[in-house]
Amino acid sequence: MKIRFSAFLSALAIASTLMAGVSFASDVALTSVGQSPDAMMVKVVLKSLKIVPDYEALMKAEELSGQKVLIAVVGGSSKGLGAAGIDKDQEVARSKALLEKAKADNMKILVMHVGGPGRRGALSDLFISAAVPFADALIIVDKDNTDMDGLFSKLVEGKSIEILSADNVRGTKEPLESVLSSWGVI
Amino acid sequence: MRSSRGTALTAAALCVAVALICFVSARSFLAMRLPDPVAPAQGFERYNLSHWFPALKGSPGDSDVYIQDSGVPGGTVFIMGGTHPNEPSGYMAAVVYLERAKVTKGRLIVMPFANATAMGHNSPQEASPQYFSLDVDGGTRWFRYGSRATNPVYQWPAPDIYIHAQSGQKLDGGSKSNLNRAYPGVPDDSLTQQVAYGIIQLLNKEKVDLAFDLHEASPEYPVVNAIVAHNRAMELAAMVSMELEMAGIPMRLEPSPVNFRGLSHREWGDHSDALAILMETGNPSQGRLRGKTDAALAVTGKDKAYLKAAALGRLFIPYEGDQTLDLRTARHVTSMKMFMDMLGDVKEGGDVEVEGIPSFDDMMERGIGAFLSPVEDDRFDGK
Repeated sequence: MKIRFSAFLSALAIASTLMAGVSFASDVALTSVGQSPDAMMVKVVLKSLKIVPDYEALMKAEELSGQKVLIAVVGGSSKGLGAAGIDKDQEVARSKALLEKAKADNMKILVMHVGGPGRRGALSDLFISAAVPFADALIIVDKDNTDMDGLFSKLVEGKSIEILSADNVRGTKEPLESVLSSWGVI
Repeated sequence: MRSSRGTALTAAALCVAVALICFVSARSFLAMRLPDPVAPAQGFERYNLSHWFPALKGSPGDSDVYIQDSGVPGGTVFIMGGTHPNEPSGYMAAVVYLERAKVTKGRLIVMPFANATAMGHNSPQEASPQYFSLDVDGGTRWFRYGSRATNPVYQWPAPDIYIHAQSGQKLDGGSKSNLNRAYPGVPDDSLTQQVAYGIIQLLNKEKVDLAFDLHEASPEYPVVNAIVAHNRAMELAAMVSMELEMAGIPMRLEPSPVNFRGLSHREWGDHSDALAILMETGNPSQGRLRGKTDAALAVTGKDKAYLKAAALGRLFIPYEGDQTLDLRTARHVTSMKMFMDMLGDVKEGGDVEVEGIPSFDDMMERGIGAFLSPVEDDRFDGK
């Protein structure tokens, strides 16, 4: 009886560990670069693909824990930076450290800009310039108007990266699914 | 050459003229304290804010609150206009819900003119109109164009520095009369702080699930045509923002800063279980670049200076010559409807179903006046 009870406890422990793995670790890490709420919109799109990412707007490099893909959603928000209690330079430093760690861990990096031309300007451009050079794939909403000055195109020049475009945030579902499928996450 | 020197008679005539002008002006100014009549839809019951905070009973801040309970279990939604009565699309959107809504699931609470005394005066040196009017079936409806601040008759003088009671945050003294810097309020402080306290009591006692504070902002202000969401409301707000974008009514999403205290989108969410949302539409009649400020500007948003500013890329809204009250109100009304439609997806048992609300296209085509009821209005005697 004692042995049976120990076996039951062991089985329970193994099951709990497995379940914990399923429940809490995701293949996809999601963060904001610039603290706009646009990353939350991407989280909603991922939900429609039945992906629950590890989402943290202020994710730090040491918080990456075995995910396969890092999605960095770029867009500056002074309200968001204020809410996080950091300035733009601290945000650039955090983002670069996170992206460098993801590269070092051989993670795939998907950079997304979903705010359209309204999320351009000096503040957003700072974050775009910091994040896009790390991208293995790039998705932009309303590319023709958002990349009107060619900033994105210039940042990926010389790399074999196609800029994928969508009409609106909800429309990013298709390129997102395609990119994540090609990386074996879906 | 004739002498222009006065006589006792001309002096007396001038005194009479001055007295007459003062009498007419004072009468006109004081008339602003008379409330705008509304015609609540069937099913709404009227309360006052003092129902939740009795210390306000009989005070000029005891604003009207209307509740419609469908009788079918569901969530509770709170719609508040008139925090700043110089931002008319906020209270007009609340009035559209008050006069049109038929709640079939859950409950709807509408407080159309939150800062009642701010509705009753104009801001000095702004040259604002006192009223604007809308054509409705069978007549004209008049609404006041008030001030951003509580009437100083009831809260004066302003301190040199306003210190937010709970956080110690320091703002300019005039901000003490700004309802949207007063939350969560103080029960025994100035009228604005008491009204804010009463609203927090309402949110908690009525177990509100989703709460809206409706505003307008200058077209040159970055947070315009925007939804500002408390962190707990962010996922729902993101869903709605995406739907609005799909519908061609983009509303930018912004997070509620944790370190800017006293605002509804922060303090409602921190001091109640409600998902707190503040929304802003673009109103040229309160912007700094505006020209002649009259009722027509409040209703049409037509201003040549804003057209120039738009051409120079200085605005945060698309501006092609106007920004009508119909458009601004329709933005608020449609956005709130989408929030309500999706509330049940993020809050179990929180579904609220409301019928009778006009669509965005209907409001743009027919004007919001087409969806308001005619009312008796003694102030204008049918004019």
